[in-house]
Amino acid sequence: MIDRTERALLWALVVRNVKVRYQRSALGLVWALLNPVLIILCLVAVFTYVIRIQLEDFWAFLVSGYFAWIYFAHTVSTSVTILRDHGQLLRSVRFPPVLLIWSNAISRGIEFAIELVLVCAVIAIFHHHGVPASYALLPLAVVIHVLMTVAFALPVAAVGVFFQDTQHGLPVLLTALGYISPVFYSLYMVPEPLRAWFLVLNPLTRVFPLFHAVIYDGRFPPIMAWVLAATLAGALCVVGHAAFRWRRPVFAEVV
Amino acid sequence: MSTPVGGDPVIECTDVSKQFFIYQHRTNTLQELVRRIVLRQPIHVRRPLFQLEGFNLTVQRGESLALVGPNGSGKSTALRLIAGVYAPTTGTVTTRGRIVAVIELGATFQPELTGDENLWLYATALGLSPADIRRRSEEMYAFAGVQEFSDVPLKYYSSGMRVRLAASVALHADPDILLLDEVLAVGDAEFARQCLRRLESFQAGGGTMVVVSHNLDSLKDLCARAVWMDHGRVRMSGSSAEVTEAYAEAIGAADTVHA
Repeated sequence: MIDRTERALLWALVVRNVKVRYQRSALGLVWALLNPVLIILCLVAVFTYVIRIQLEDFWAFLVSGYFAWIYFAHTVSTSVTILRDHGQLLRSVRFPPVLLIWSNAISRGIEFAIELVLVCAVIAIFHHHGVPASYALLPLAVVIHVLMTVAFALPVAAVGVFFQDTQHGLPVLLTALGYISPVFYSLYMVPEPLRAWFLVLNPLTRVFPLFHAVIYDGRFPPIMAWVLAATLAGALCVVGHAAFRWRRPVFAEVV
Repeated sequence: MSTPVGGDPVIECTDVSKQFFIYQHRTNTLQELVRRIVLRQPIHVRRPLFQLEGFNLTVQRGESLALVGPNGSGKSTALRLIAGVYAPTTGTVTTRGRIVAVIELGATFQPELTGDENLWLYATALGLSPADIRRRSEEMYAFAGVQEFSDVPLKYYSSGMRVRLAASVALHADPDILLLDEVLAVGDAEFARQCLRRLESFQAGGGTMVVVSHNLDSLKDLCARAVWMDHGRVRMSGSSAEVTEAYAEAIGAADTVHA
């Protein structure tokens, strides 16, 4: 798919992203952990003592899907300006611009992985009182989720090059998308006639329940759920790449 | 048009044109796009501009070619087409071998990262493998004269140091074809001489080179052949002495001084 030089560049970009983000300061890695720890504490506090929902350990349900959503929203929203930010590089070196989107998705994926380890540990201790076997399937869910995220990030990046207000409109759309995705609630809380529409219209509806099932429920989702999610993510990723490639020849001229 | 040097073309541009647009109005927001579609107004108000037209160029392996011409004559566009950064509107560009194009020096430089990290990223972007970088980084630092700052973030470098580091990485990238846009003019006189020597040894090693510069004197020594471009076409092609002389005469000797 990509040759050795391109792989080396992808890796170098990932390393750069991580280093720039944490700027080599001693506090760098601490931030990567402190952030999710604080968020988990807040969610636990609010949903245990303030908002009470009739679902056992609702905080655990929330936390199991929350970081997947944050990963999606961050990766997609940072893709808007990513081509413009690398204008110099695009104008002077021949390389596939998709590497920029992938390097962003991968370097943020590393943070996502750190957060998931933390989430799994907290939920294993306070919710399951043990380590459920379903945790073993988490890497598969992550791969599917990354593909789905890149599928959205690619067209967003392409549109962002041409229209400067994409970065103003996108946060609103992402917030809306977050509310119509089963992140903060289970799909079973959605009334029946509506539920079908959720599944048809929003591809993300296939992904978050995997995280809920594997982390919170501690059970193995049915094989069809995996197949559907993986197929959809893969297909959308291919479409995203095609959309991106269609505009690719002019990126270097526009940025 | 081609000079027969073994008859082994590594760059071939055949009847290449490159069209851009001059915008009187460019729609660059989505809300305006929607408004203009609803009101049935044209999305852009623009007219085409051919930056290159009927451009033909053949460069043989081991040849050094200078592109000269006034601003806007299409030199940089030609270089970017050869580098593969732009796609031609019509015609074909074929190249053989690994190309390093130094069009914007230090295109990947990040102020927050150290000299070492920046060297690594830039060299990788220019197509060097990790093994190559490890082998050559000493040499690159020595050439740039910044070895003692390898662990210092780039934001604390002077602009001269930054440029020297970038040029050094580019000149040690060891491609088959080297494309240079106005980079002979960086750093102090001593560094410029050092770069020229490095380019000469690159030529001696059989490397192919295409150089764009306004500094006609240095071009004459460096390149055997020159092409004079004017309004996107080749106006004259021949030995660099002939071409630069004719070009200098046409524009008046005063313009040759500033690069």
